[in-house]
Amino acid sequence: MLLRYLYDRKSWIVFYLLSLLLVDLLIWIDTGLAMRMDSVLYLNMMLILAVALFLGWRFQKEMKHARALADLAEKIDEDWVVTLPAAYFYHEEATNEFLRAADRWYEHKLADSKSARYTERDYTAAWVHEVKAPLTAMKLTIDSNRDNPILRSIELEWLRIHLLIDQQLYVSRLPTLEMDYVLEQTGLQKLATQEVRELASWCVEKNVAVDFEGEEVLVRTDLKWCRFIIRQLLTNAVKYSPEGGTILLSTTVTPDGHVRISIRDEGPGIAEHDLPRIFDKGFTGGNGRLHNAATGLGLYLAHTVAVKIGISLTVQSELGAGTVMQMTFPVINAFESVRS
Amino acid sequence: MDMDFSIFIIEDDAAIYNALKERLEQWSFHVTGPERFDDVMSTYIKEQPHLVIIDIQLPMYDGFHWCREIRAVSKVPILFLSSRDHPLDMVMAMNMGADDYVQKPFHMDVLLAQIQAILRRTYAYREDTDDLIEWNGTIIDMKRGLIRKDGQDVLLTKNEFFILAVLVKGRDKVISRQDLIRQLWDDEQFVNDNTLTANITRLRQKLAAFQLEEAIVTKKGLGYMAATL
Repeated sequence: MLLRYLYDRKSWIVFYLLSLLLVDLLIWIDTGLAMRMDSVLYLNMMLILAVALFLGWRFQKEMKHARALADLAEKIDEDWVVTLPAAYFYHEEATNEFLRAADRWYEHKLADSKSARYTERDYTAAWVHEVKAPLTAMKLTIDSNRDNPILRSIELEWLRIHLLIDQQLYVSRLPTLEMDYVLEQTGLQKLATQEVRELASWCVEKNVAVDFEGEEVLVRTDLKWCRFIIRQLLTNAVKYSPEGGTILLSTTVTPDGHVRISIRDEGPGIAEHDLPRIFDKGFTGGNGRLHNAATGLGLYLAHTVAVKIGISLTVQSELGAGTVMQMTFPVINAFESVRS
Repeated sequence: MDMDFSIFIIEDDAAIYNALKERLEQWSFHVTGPERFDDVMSTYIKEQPHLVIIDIQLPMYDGFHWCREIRAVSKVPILFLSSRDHPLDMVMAMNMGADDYVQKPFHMDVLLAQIQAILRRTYAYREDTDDLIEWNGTIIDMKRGLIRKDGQDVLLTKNEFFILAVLVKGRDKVISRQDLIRQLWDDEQFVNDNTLTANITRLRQKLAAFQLEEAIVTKKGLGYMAATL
């Protein structure tokens, strides 16, 4: 940094040294200025030392702002504009002013893009609600004519549309999950039962049974988002279940008091080397390629939501031996158990 | 049913309104709706229904508005039906005195159960389901889930009983395996083909106590039938 400073000040330094040289030259040429050789040397040393000290002092003073800016750049955060180093010189003030202007400009850009995103999200939400009206009417017609085999296959497609549209609604809400997050106490089996029922037409078509195991347990969670996770895990389990297979939902309480629900399918399982990546966005693994239907989004979304609402999502699987997905709920803390 | 209940549905989507009307009329409810969405109250007052179903998104005024208007003149039970699922909407509906909130799209039997629960609470009415059904000289007790003949009881599991009840209610008609499975699913018994076969086998074994194992007939490729012997 010092070298850079000296380099920037090179014209001043050269000018000073040339002046000194000129004085030395005058002393040497002009016989009127009689000085002894060692005095001249002494004078030169003094002046060079003086300028060196001067440069050191100026270096400290003039580089203070730049140094502070470099520090700030290292650990820049939200309110960097407020923590801009104080300016002493005019050019420092100009730099600060420019940075503030740039910040304002980007702030503006960001607000624009945010509001565009909100508009889009609101639009999506409105659209989803709008599209639910014809879906409801369709469902009513299908429900009252279920003995018609044609309508049965239409019901299956209806379910696919319904699941996709619902997923879209949740995706659009994901960034603002915290805003409609409501904790409620509920029975975990009851919650899972509702989701299993949603998939009835698909399971019946695929001849997949769903069994429950264990006692009903209470959890305190956001019903909507919790059901969303269960739905992703269940649709996955149904998707990979073989014809005539059984999906087992078991509820347990771990020794340290965590409530857990496991969803076990009899599907092809997941290879060990794929396990660490199944919650990644866009990861479909060997299974996905096999089934050609995986978007690689379901488990990623389930995991993202689980992290946000404090549910731990784990997987156990072996190739050829099915898959177990586990949702482990946080312990209801003492304060809340007293309150309820 | 002890009395005919009338239901007033404020829903602007004609397809949903008509489908709902059709289904509810099958259950012998009397269904009406407003003539105009800027003046719901005059039809409401004319109809004096036992239950009101309101959609939130409506032309002119929203469902909350009409809920408020109705609440100002009546204590009639109100059920909201909406595709909105924000907790705030539900809280708002409940605060305005709604009795329940059902999300679209819904299962018809879930809505029906909700309607019956509300009517039961409000008008102290009970659906009369036939508690006892006679079949081939046996009495099927729907309440206790057992089958009886000559003072001898045979207890059935939930699934077995459900299957028997469905078959007997449609007696001498073939009910396909798919239909049976689907009805079991609607009753939250999530079975597959194998479980159904096992259940039928066990059911027949139990019916053998009354020499009725032949009464559940398998129609190859079609389904099952409860025959009258």
